[in-house]
Formats: sequence, C-alpha cells, structure tokens
Amino acid sequence: MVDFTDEQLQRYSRHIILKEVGVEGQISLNQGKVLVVGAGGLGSPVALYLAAAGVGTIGIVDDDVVVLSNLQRQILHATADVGRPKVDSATDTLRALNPEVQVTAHKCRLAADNVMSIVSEYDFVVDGTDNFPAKFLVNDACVLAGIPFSHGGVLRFAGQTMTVLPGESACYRCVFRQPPPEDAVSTCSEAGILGAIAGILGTIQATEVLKYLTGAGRLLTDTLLTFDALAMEFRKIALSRQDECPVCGREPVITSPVDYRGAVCAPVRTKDGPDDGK
Amino acid sequence: MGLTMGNKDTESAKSLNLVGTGCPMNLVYVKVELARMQPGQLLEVILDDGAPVKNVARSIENEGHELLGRNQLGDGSWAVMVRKR
Ligand SMILES: [Zn+2]
Repeated sequence: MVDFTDEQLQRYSRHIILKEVGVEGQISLNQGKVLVVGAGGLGSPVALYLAAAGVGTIGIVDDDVVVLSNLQRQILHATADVGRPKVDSATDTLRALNPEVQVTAHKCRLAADNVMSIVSEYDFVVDGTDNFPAKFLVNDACVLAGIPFSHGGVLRFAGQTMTVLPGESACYRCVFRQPPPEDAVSTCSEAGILGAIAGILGTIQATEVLKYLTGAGRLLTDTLLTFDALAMEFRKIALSRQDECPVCGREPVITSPVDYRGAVCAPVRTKDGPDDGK
Repeated sequence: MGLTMGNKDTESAKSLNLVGTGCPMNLVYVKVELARMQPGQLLEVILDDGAPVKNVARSIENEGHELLGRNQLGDGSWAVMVRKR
C-alpha cells in the first residue's frame, strides 16, 4: 500500500507532512481522477495545481485552439502554442510539470450526447467553462451521474464558486434555475477580465478538489463564495437544496442532459444572474 | 529522560535511523513508516540533535501518536520511541 519511491516522497513531502493530508491523503490524490472542463482561464490553474499535487488522472475537455488573447490569463499555454489545440498544449504543460500524472485529452465540446459518458469516468468534475449553457450542462450531468463538482465563474474583477455534492448539497440549478436570456448578458469580449482573477478563482476550485480527494476540512457546499477583487472583499452566501429544483428536487423534470443553444461566448451577469465569463 | 516501555516492547519495536536526514524529509520517512504499521506498534526513530528531534517529536505528538520517551545517544543524536495511535 505505502510504496512511494524516494522521488515521490520528495515531490509530495509538503503534502505528506501535513496532518490533514499525510501518507493516506497523498495516496488518495495519486488515485484520484478529475475532469477539468475547459482549458482556459479557470482550467489552467486548476489543472496545474492538480498535476503538481499528483492527482493520478486528469481529464481535459476543450475543443478550442490557443489564440494570442488567451495568454493574458490561460497559463497552461505559452506563446509558442498559439494555433495548437488547447488540449494538446495543456497535455504537454502538465506532463512537463509532473510526468507521473495521466492526462486524458477530450478534444471536443461537451454536449447532451457525450457529457454523461465523459463525466462518469471521473471522481470529481471542475467547471471551468465560459458560458451558461455549458455550466448548466455540467451541473445536470454531474447531478444525474452523482459526481461531485466545483462550479466557477469569473468576469472583470469578480468571481464566484460553489461545490456541489449531488443529492446532499444545493446544486447550481437550485440557485440559478435556468440560463439567463441571451439579451440579458453581455459577451466575454465586451466584459474583459483581469487575468489574475481567473487564477484566484481557479486556485480555490483546485483547493476544493484536493480537499475532496483527501477528505481534509469542510467543502464549499451549500455556500456560494463570491469575491470582488477591486475591494478585495470575499463573501459567503448560504444556500440550501430546493425541493422544486428541476434536476435535484423531489420531482425532477430534467432526467437527461439538456443542450441550451445560444450564447457562444462568455455571457456575463447583469443584475440577477450568476457571474460568468473568463 | 529514560524510555518508559518494558523490554518486551523494545524488542518488538521497528527502528528508523534518520541521522543526517534533515527537515522535513525526516518527518516524511517517519510518517511513511508509521503508515505501514498497525495501531499500538512501536517505532524507534534516531534523529539529529536540535531542530530535527524537536520538530519531528512535536509533529508526531500533534498527529496523535504517543511519545514514550527519548534518549540522547553518545554521538549527540536522539533515540525517540513512538507508539502508533
Ligand atoms: Zn438542485
């Protein structure tokens, strides 16, 4: 059971000496399988910290190629990667950081017809997507498959995140019933984002994954954490599961994943919708 | 300070010589060894004087294991006896 090489003991020494992680926690990380949806602003820090932590299998879903305007925040990718598929660039970066981790590239866009089979291969899913339809798709698929996940969204100088344990804690749809109408949101290119904001939020999501896999601490469940970096204010909003939630409520009307067509690029909150964009 | 356990326990204790192994790798090796053991089993750890014996002993105790005692050896290093929780 405990058969780390000396190299592994050195690589993970700062985890192992933590009381809350220890040898057992590191073994759990090495055996963990985590899917990162989106190799962009959020997915970059998430995947980097998971690989650094030795999470055994990291899946990356993305169908985009790297463009120059990504590099201001998408730190998985370098200037020489412009024009390459993001999953390829991400795979190279993660393998260089930690050759021990298995990186699985899913070069596709999540949709109603593939999301269930992809997420069910993993222990935990991280939503690093940049649009509402994808966020609802990830939520519904994870709730239906019973896979814990971390929701995350960022724009301008703000971000929000929550962790969902399906069947136990409030899901994204308990809070935000359905995607906002398209005319209520602006697009990513209109909104902008300070690059480091994606780093803050993604790093919080990565922390939740590591806590989940090791069992350390309390997860960000039934809680929406929001922050405004201009004032550097963090706020926790208490949530609870809703009996009338269309996917995790008493009488769910959503029993298979739904594709919402429409917004292609990062929709952004106006007044009442969730923060988004990256 | 003398060791407090009986001879029978001493005979069954595993031993880990970490002289020359600095912080924090000495603690890493101790935790790996403890993870391989059964609750109640004994582990003798030889640690350098100064920060190593101080830090490792404190960490082991903080994790709930029992420090049965420590002996300074002729070369200045310390033999620390631990009972796994
Ligand atoms: Zn719900």
